[in-house]
Amino acid sequence: MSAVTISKLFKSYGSSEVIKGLNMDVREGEIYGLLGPNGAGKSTLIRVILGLLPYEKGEVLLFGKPLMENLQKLSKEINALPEFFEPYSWMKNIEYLQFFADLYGADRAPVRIRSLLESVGLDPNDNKVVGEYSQGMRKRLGLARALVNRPKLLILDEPTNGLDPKGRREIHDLLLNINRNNKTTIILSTHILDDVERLCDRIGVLDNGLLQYEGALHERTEQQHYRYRFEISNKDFDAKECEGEQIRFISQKESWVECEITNITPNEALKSLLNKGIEINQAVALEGSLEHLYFSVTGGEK
Amino acid sequence: MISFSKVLIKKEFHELFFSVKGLFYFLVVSVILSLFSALLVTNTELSLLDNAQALYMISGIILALMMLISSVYGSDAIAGERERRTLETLLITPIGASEIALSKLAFSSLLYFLLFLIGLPYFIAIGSSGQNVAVGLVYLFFIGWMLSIIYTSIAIYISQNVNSLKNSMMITLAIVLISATPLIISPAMRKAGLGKVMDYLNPFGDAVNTLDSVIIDSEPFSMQAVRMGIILAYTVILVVIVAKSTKKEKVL
Repeated sequence: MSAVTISKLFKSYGSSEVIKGLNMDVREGEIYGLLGPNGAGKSTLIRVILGLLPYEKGEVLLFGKPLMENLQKLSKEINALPEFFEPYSWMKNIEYLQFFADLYGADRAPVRIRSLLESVGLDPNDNKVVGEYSQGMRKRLGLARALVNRPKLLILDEPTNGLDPKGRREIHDLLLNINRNNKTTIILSTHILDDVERLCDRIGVLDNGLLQYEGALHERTEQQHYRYRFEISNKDFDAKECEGEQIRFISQKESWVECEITNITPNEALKSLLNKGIEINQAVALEGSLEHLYFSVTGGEK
Repeated sequence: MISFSKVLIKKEFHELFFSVKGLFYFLVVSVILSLFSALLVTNTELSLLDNAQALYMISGIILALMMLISSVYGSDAIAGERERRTLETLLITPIGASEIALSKLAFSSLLYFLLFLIGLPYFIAIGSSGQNVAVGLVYLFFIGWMLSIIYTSIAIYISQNVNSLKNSMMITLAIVLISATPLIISPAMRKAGLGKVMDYLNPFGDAVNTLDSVIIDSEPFSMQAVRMGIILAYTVILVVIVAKSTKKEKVL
């Protein structure tokens, strides 16, 4: 069953048409990466899915039910972390989550709220008001708030923005846990392609008001053709000796070699080369990576 | 349908006591009423006013303060939340946009009751030895309550339709000033022609004229019915407008 089904959606602001007949399908239990350049319509699309914005034409179904007709009921089953949000600065972390638990009619028991705070890496015994929190701590608190009603569908807009690498990794692990353990469907809107590659099952690339690409990330990476450039430190490196069906070297210039990878992922190719004793200092994707796909779909240059 | 969120009202109540905003409201009301009461007692000319006049004047000050605070609170209700980036997380929840606005409106009544309690000792102290204290107090309470709903509703309506808190507050305060303007016109002009019509149409004018009639002239309720009816009509109409016009896409 699909968590979100959108058919022929049109949405305008005045005379400016932002979404132009968009179709989208997010399957239940998957992590769906929503990509697209600034101004592509991602935030508008998210707001439409959350029932915050009406639309002119089309159909939006959440878990098979028409959104606008069932908005109040569906609002209890979804939650979101907006890109720009601030908590009530005078509240403490537990109070903040209990306030939202009450609004959703969800379990507000201190034990549950404390464990929710711990799961996002915040200290439930922290006596500070949240107005004193850093940007990263606010993001974590926002994520805890988005989980307060145990949503079936979670929409995250740039959830790792402003987090340090350790914080990002922790949020990745948390999202994967939520997705696997609670079967929560997650729509992740981000500009950070690394987040998408680590987390998402499928992606949609939105540009100019339409999904220009929608597909499974894993399938795409296995079937596609890649071109990579590696910096190799072995002085006695012989390209022909290391070639195989799936990795073919096409040029060499000083310590840099360019190769084509087919039917395996770049990670698998890298592992295979390392196993052959090749010392690789750097790897640069030239073609076939998510980044390359993103730029080719959105018309940017790379 | 008109419905409130108790959770949101509770949050507003906590915010009032845990933020500078609430303390500021209480402080302003206390300081202004203290200063004005001291003037009524110590100023050579004002202290010569008869008791009913003094009571009417302090009632007017209490009403004006309520009107001002309701306007400031209402202006902040939507535009302030939007500017502080706390609004979108509220709109995502199952409570509707009109429920948010009406909860804020309901809380403004609670705020009014608290501020009325602060004004109560001043009202009683000034009018303790005179006539119509009890009846004046009852009228002041109900008229003040309705005025607080009227001006909060106007402010909330403006607050959701403008893009910044500053603009929301400026437009609302301009409306408050325009409401108070007819009082500058002489009583003779207000009793005839256009002045009379304007006085009837202006809820603040109706409120002070009712208090004048009750406290100073000791007139019965039948003489107040039209003005009270007009104030009540404004109250009901504006609450309905706020309930009907507040939509998620509009306030976002």
